[in-house]
Amino acid sequence: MRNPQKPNSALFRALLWLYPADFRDEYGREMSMVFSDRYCAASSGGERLRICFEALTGVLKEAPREQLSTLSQDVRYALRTLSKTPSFSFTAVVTLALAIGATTVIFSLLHAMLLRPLPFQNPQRIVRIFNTFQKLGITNFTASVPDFVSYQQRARGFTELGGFTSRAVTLTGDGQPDHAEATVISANLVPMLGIQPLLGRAFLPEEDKPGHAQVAMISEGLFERRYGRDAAIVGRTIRVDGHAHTVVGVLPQQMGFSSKAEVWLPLAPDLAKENRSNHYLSVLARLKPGFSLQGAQADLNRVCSELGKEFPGSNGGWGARLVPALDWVVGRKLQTSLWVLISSVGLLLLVACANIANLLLTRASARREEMSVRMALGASRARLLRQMLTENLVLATIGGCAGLLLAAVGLAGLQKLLPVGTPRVDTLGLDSPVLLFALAITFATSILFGLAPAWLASRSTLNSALRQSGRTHSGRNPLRQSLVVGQMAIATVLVIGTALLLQSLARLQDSQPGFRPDHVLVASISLPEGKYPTQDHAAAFYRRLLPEVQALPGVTSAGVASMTPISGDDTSMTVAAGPGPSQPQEKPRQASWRIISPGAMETLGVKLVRGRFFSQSDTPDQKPMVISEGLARRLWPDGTDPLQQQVHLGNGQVFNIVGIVGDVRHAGLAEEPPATMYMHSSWYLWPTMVLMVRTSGDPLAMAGPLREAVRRIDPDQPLFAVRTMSEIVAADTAQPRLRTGLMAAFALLALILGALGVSGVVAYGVARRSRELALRMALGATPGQVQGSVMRTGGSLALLGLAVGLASALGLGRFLSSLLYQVQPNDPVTFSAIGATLLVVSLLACWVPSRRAVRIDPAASLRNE
Amino acid sequence: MEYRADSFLPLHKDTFHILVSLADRDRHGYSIMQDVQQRTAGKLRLSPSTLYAAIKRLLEQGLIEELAERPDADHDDERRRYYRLTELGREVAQAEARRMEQLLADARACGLLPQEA
Repeated sequence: MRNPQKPNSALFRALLWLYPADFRDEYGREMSMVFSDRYCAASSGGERLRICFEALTGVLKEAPREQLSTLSQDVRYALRTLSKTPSFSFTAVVTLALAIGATTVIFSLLHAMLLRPLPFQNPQRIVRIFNTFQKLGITNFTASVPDFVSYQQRARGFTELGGFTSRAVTLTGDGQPDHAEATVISANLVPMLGIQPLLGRAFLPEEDKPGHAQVAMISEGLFERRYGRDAAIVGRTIRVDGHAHTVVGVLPQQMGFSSKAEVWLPLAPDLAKENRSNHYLSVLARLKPGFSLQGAQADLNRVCSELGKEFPGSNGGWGARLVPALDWVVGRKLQTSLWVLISSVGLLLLVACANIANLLLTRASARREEMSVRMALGASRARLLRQMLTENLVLATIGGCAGLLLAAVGLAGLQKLLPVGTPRVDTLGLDSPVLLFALAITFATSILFGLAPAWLASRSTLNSALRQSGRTHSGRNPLRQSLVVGQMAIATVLVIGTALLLQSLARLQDSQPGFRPDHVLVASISLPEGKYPTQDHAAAFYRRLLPEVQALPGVTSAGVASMTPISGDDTSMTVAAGPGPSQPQEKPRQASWRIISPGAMETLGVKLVRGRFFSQSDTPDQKPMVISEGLARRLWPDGTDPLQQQVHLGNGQVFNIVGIVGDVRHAGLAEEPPATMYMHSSWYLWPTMVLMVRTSGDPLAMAGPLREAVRRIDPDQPLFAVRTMSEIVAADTAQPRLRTGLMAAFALLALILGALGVSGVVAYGVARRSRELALRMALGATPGQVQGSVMRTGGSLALLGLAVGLASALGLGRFLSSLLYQVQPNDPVTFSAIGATLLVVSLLACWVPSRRAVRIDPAASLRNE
Repeated sequence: MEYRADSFLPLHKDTFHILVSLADRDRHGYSIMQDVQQRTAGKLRLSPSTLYAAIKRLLEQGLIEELAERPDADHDDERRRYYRLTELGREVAQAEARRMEQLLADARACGLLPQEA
């Protein structure tokens, strides 16, 4: 029977696990005995409770101290050991630093863009509504204001819907005239998103009505730039496009869906002036509690179907689709790029770990004797394991710190390389989540690369060490061999992925935009409505400006257009062949449209296929139109000559075709050129037009003279967004270029590490088999036979890795497919070429160390035995 | 390595009491604990953790040593380990006692404590 005063020491013994193993082994039993003795000697329940409390607090106080003391002892030992093998330590630290640095840089990108929540209240409930027209493959279109109002009134899946559209404005009155990006919003948008103004308030519902919209909010950036952070700006009047607006609030610069807007104006829709075919409003909505994305989508489909029946002319065929806000802000392609990059860099980290594990295994064999001696002197296996893991941790920590330094440098470089307009990179940097991640991967890598080698090394015993100094070895080590196969497989996957992206990039850069971007300068002009209230006023401005610009020395031609090609902006309308809806010839089609002045096509260098470009003598009554070849094929698939034919638009207007031009890739080099119609600038002018000039010399040198020319006509008129067309075309491929460049760097590193891995295994095999090889040579084997035998070991591993890698790349290719342009993810040419190249690299990696085998002096080697 | 006794001073009070406890005889852990508790009239109670952390340090510093044989083998638990003061440990304990004595003398000279009769 148990003595009722005898304590159950199991709990105390469990507490002892907080101590380092060697302390526990040394004193644990006695400590338990002492605790038990004291407990039994206690005279009262209170005394026993006190003894238990003292025991508990004693352990909690002393155990961490012992742990720290053992750790510091291990760290000192580790530093001494690592300093004794500087080449190993340097190689391991550099490998780790590169891998951890690269992983940290890519993670910080991923965190800034995808993992960080949008600055909205419950951002996961915010969705973007895109209008769609399935038959024409239109999936990401804006809505018309009447449709937006209909959604507000009829859709049941949202608590609220808000809309916005952007335009350029000119600020006057306070100092120099200034160009600013403005976003025109429905009054409920800011409260719906849950964004708090930094100063003042958001718009009131009554300010969102025609005639009551003389209010504005400004961004933090403009607040600082133009108003010197003077809080008194709230309540003051500023002039936007010549109209007076009272500033009611200051909004954060980063609004989640917009970082460029500096002025915010109320939408104040006038439904009497809007029509359902005029799509220009971006719509956001907050899902109603209880509604899933699918539920809200189903309900919106119902609304679209109703509208299609009620307004067949404008809404027939149109639908709407919901996209989670983050998917809209960051975009599917960019998200895929980020996941591909983080996976690639993760694979690189694995290759680096495998490489260091291989180095450690080699080192572990060399340290077997040391381990055996320490065991013989009484060190437990757990103690040795802990010591080795601490060494790995020290190595990983040094590598991690160096990696963080590299990451800081890399991030600074990346910020310069990121294409203009890359979303959500304002917070890119080594902030606390990124540092925590770096810390976590540092620990994880130390376990990944170090656990198996440490485990194997701690298994050595004195006997095994003694046995080791015996005869010959096969040089085989299954763990090392598996690591090498894994390394080669991963390197193959990365190299194949990079090769596919490189090919895709090359084809993208070779793709013809449909115009000649060289020697063209573009700049935007935004005419304020206050100063240019009618089309005639605006037309008069451009009538004076264009001859002035054309007369500038070095300008060969000039024109204006409603949009810059490849800018990503678009406008589209339905169009059908024939003079009107009463003509039954054709069903309507959706086509992009642009307004261009005479001279614009010549300036851009668009190819004239038939007919003519616009001329100064064209009048608005003639309603001339130039169409793209693609649109001509769609409207007249039977081959009818489009020249002199008529088309009618969704808004009822009829135009006469005067020319057919080559297709232009307005939506970007990677996109198919849209069917496009070009209207004469005498028909209509937008508040913001793009001035384009072709120059005989450096186009950028023309920026100053252009500004002067504009000022000579209107001194208050700024010229903004001045860029060369070549820059715009290059920016279109900037993202794929950066993505491919990063992938190439990761793949190259992985390949070098993989080749080093193969090479290391062969060299290790040669070193371990030197006596056997010497014996074979002594028995008459030729150097070629010996070298061949050594190379076969490494070569077969490399081949196996290559095969696994090629098979994996085939399976993983589909993840890349959305990033590829005119290249198949299983492109046989790429697979064969890369397979052959990697085979040569692998054989080289085996050949270099295998030469050592033939240099073995049989007599000397056997004498050593 | 040669250590000067003074280099260990001042001693932590737990350490000093353990050395004092081992000054007159060799003891095992529990015996040290009991002795300290009795001598300080229960004012200093060493927990098993404090005691063995101190023992580990004293062993590493060479102030105490573990005995190969138990002095009282017939009447004791054979699993207990006994400790003895080393020569250096004795010198250190003496140096600490002298330091405390000097402190006491200083306190008396300043009138903080009454003069000895």
